[in-house]
Amino acid sequence: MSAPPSNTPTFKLILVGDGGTGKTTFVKRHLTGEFEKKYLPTVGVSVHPLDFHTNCGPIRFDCWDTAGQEKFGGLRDGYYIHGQCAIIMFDVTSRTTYKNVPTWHRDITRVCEDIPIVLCGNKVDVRNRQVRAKSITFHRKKNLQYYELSAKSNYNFEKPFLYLARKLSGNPQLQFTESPALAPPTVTVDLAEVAAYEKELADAAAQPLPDEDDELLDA
Amino acid sequence: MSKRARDDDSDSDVVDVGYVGRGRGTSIEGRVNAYAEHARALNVQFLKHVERKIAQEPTALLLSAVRDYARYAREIRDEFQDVLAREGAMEARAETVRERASGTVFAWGNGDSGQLGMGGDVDEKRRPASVEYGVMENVKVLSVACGGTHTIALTSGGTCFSWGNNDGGALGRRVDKDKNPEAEYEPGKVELPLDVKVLAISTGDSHGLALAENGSVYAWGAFRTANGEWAFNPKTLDAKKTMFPFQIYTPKTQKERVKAIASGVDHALALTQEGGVYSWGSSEKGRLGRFAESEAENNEEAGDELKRRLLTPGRVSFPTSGGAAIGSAFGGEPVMTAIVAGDFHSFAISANEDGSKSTVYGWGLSNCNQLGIFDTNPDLRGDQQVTYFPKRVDCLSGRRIVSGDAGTHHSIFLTGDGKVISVGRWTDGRCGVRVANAAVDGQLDEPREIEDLPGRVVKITCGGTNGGAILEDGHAYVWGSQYMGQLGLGPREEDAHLPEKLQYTKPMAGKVFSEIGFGGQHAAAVLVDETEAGRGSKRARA
Repeated sequence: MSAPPSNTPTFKLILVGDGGTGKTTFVKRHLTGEFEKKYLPTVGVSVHPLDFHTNCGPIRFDCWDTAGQEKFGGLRDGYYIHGQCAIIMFDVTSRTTYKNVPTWHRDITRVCEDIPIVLCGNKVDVRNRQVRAKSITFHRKKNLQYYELSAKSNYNFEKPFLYLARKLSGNPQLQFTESPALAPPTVTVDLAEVAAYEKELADAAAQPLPDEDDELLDA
Repeated sequence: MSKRARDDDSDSDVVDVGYVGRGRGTSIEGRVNAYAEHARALNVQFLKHVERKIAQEPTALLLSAVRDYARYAREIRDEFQDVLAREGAMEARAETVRERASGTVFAWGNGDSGQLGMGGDVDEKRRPASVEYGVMENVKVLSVACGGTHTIALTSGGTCFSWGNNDGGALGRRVDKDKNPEAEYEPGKVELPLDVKVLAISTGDSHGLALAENGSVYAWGAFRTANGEWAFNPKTLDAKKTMFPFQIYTPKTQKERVKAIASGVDHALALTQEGGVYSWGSSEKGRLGRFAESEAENNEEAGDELKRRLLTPGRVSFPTSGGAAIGSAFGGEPVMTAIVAGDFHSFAISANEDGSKSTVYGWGLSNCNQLGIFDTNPDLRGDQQVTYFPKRVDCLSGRRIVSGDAGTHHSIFLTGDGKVISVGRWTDGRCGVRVANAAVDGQLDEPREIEDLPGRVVKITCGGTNGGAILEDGHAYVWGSQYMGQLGLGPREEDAHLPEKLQYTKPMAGKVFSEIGFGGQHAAAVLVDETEAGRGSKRARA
């Protein structure tokens, strides 16, 4: 892993989610990061340095991708230490992977407290997924950013990084000035379908979450 | 096999070939009596013979007598299969009635995947709410099983209903979202053959199991490996999921009938009448207990032959030395009386009814000591701490354990005298015991009794990161993660590090808990009328 230019702000990015949700596929899209990744055998993790260029200068995410030990019920707290931002990933075509999203979120916040976190629903390229937009509510309940993406098509690849960069810099005007070199897409998304879905998501977000507490029986 | 009638020859104590007569009429009552007489005759003859032999020669070998005994016993068993089958079925039915009065399903926690079954408008319930919605109205429910993001209920008539996320086929029924966008959010009937009466259900992250009255097992859904959806039906290896129920296990004999089933997230266990344990599904991290590391890991890469063996129920072998509580007296296979499936680990328990004799065997992942096996190699990374074949768990054996349940990284057990023992990771309060440093991540260094349960416990349950118990008086206590409201403790998000009593909402008036279960982010329970429960629990104690 090449050292970043001395003045490049660098942040530890924790990437978590169930096995099979496409975390490694996602992080490998960033070609220089993939080329310069470094494996840390003692922790069992690949660290991908993901560089982005912004109107405020370069920024680097050291993205921690586990070698598989997360697949059996999570990572111990040592993995999260000094994490500065995080991405939690699940698979929108197999929502069993959504089951553990709260557990991942709990683990991150227990160790890292108040860091910016993005929830990502991957594999939106799969046609005819029948998920209702309002069936994903976790990000609303816990106040996270949510993006749907397709790692294989590069669709929305930059979105989570842009969100995190803005949060970490404290500058909501921050923009990426050039795109990183990405691996060519192996699938395409149906942009019309995705647009319709994003509108549905926005509509769902405008609906209030239920706020009822059922009446208790008097003791 | 030829048999000689011996009805008029009862005085003879010379045993040779053919013991069993066909007399005593053909009515089933007559045959039940005949069977009992034969069983008594067998034991009387054997005792006489042994006494005489020992009187003659105290050091005599009794091999031939044992052979005769075994032959007689075999003949009775063959001749009276109808009687045994009837008794087995009656036993199973009696158990169902005794332990489970029927009532109403309540659910709470997160419902955005439809796992609450209250229709598309109900995303969350912070306290127990009734699932008398749609087809569930006026249905008497015996038991409920919560999967990762779905729920299955079993009615007193032996049919199953399901609701929640059907991406992996966990609902076992047709879900046409084009026709009805809310189809997952509304209870619907699991599409089992009409003549199948179900006695018990279990469910994992994306599969369901139903135990039929005849001792066979039906299954539907998908098993995932570490790399995603994998396979389910050994007859259609290329299909990653099977949307409708099929028979996965068919008993060949009376003793091979299944009497209990259990589901991990992606594996299944079955316990037979004779006390054998079968396992199938994903074997990663050793959770099936019958594959060495070379075959158990990387299921995704398994060839067809291995894949078929993984997906077909196969019998688990247990160490015959080391003294199981039941069955291994003469070096035989231990007789198991209970099974437990955690997310990535499993247990089998061999115990008598009050637990005064009890041995626990465990296998699978133990990265947080959830197996109670503490001699793991400290040089290994957590996910490498695996026991691939059943091992006697010394620290849990001899502690009166009769049953259990397990989550992702913890396990809990019920003793014959109504106490609960925890082992594994305490984080988020999931072990329900007092620890010095509850706010941080950690694990118990020995099994511990949950002391804060104010009474005798009759039933326990485990979620991935929580636990629950029903007490003799019908109240439920819960502990562990409340992050998604899955403990039903109201608006708060703080975990319960020690057991807390689940408070009653108005529709629960006059009812008590008979069943409770946890899914990934939700929970469900069966509540029965106090009067009916009184009868049930009295019978259970009798």
